Amino acid sequence: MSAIATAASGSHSVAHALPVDEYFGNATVGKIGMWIFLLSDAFSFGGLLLAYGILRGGSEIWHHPGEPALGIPFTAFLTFLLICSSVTMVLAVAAATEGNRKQTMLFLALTALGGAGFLTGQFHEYFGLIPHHGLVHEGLIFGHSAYANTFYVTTSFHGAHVLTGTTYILVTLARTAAGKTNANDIEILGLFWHFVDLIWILVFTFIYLL
Amino acid sequence: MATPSMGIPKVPMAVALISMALSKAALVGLFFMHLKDEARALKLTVALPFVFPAIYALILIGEASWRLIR
Repeated sequence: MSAIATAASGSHSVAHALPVDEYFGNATVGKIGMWIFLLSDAFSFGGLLLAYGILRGGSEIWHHPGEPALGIPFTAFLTFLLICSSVTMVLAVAAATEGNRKQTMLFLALTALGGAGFLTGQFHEYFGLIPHHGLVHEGLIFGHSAYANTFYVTTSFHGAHVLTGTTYILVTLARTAAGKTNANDIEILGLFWHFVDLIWILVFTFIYLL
Repeated sequence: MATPSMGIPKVPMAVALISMALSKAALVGLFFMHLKDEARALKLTVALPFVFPAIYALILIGEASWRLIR
């Protein structure tokens, strides 16, 4: 494997050079590990979405009277925010590959901001930042129906991923500021963040749009 | 369906939405996650396991459809 550019010029952190693998080429152990982790995570989401399909397909009344409809325009805005954060992550990876530490840090910070915005939006959707707003106050109660249960379990499981991803970004941002990351570290972080975006598109389509 | 259907029947709308979501997910994987530039073994490691949930989904859809029409 060729030397990997450091995100921080003058950094002590350099990915260990490994020989090119016959089957996996230049992919580092960390990258292959992240892909395998993401596969297992994708199956978790797959299980949740299949359970949603089974429950919905088997129920005579899915949306009970008194339960609020989901706010599609607001969630579409959150989706847009998450997609924008994916773009800033692409720019962070590109900057890290070029060895531009300042730009890497800027785009990582913007990505974390997008993640924090998404989480704030999800909190507002559930509980309301304004008193007496939010799905909980409007009658969508966890435990009252399969519709409420599948909605809260699936979206909060995704929200946990956004929280994890945002924390991961902030830790990587701090490590980049200290000159302890390289382009490979940022690329592996990018894989996780893009996965969070990729899964949301499916969750948004199945839970909100269908 | 929760979305305004704009006069489009339910099933074609669902098929269109799911197709667009899966296409977008595939594009993110291929381009943003650089899967298209990876070695063949890694591409297969990632892509092949998705055959199984796809089979499960098809079996479940088939079973639900059978229960509806019988």
